[in-house]
Amino acid sequence: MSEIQADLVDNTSQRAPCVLVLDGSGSMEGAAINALNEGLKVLEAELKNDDVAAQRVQLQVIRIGDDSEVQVVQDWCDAMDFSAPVITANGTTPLGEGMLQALGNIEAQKDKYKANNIKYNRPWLFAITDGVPTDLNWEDAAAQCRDAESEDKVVIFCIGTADADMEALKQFSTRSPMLLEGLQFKELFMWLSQSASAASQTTQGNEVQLPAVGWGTVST
Amino acid sequence: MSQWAIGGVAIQGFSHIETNVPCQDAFAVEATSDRAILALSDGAGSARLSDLGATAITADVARALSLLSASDLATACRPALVDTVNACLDRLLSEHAEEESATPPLTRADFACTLLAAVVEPGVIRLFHLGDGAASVRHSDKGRENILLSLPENGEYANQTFFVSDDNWDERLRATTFSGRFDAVFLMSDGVTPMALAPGGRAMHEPFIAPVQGYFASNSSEVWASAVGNLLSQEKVKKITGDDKSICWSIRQSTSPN
Repeated sequence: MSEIQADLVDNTSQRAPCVLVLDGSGSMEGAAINALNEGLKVLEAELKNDDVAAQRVQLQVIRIGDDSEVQVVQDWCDAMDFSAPVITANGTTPLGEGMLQALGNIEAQKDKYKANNIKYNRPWLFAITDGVPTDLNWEDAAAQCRDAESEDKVVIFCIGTADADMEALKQFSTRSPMLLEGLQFKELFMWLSQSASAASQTTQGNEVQLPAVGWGTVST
Repeated sequence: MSQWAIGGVAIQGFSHIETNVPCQDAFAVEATSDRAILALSDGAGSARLSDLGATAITADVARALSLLSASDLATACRPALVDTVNACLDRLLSEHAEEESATPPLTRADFACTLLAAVVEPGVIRLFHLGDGAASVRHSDKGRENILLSLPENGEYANQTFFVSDDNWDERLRATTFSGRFDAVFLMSDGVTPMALAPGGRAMHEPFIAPVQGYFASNSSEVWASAVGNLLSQEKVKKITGDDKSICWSIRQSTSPN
């Protein structure tokens, strides 16, 4: 019996948008920021190594730090084109402002997808910090984050290191924040890439099966 | 003998093979002297018994549509389909309530699945579609072009769609009537549409569907299903989708060797 010689290519342009809000405050200086930057390289390599995720996952990286500044250090790009930015450590922790900008950028990207008839998964937003939010209105921002999740606009994961204000992080999401043990940023970003990959391939009616969190614990 | 060669294939996706989850796609086909009936369904991944839902609903719908009198087809298909689906869900709940007594009580949502159904007569296709997946028809003339008859419908997110277990599901049931000269009808689930639809998702990808039809034209209908199954099981498909895959067809007999 001869085989059917048909074209087998992925003609979809489905995207899984993912934003990282990364703490570039002064307290990250030294081992922490080095570990975070090494972790970003792991994220780049892992996503590029996954055929489906490389095409579907779209990343944006936001740095918070300096004098209450929020910077898009890597604008939206497909994972296959992602080049790990270098995050510097200096200044304050305007986490509220960073998260609000992330939410706005996500909605703007959804509009672009719709305008171009591109299907997309529910966006994911990861916030990684080692400290306490320093911007005055962070609680309002946190409330807006929870509302966005409740309205099904985004999925938010908050990850804090040992010195982070986990009680504050709790307010940014409907799910409990995760505590990074030590400086296991490489393991964290490995998990993040596996999670993003799983999300990019999730099929209709399915929930995303996240890999086990080997780098930390879920705060209660 | 029916003027239509009917058949199909539903195969377990790579992700379900790895997680030992049964194939949640199903199809049913029937042929009478005056029509062919195709029904295809994709069970919701997170629904406990969606494989059973898809299997039962496609079988019941195909049977019900095959029993309608020819004079009633124009008006009776939709109400018959809706009534059959609702009755099937009620029956499934009743039949399986006892088996699942140790777990949270079963609801319709546990049998959630999409639905594509086509009544194919010479010159007319009556198509009903809820959710994703797609349907195509090939013109007998016009260069034998394959036309996308019904597009997938998703919610805001790519992994959201609509199921027969949703409240007021029949209000989302889309009906399409095609009139013209055609010789092939295909229904397919969203495990096949990434390859079968062209970029942009609004047309058929001829380099996929035409070779399938060419194979059908050159080989006995007895081997079509296994050949299509082999095609969809190739390793390169794993990089495209791990989802279950199903496709069924009605091919006018004069186009096949038999």
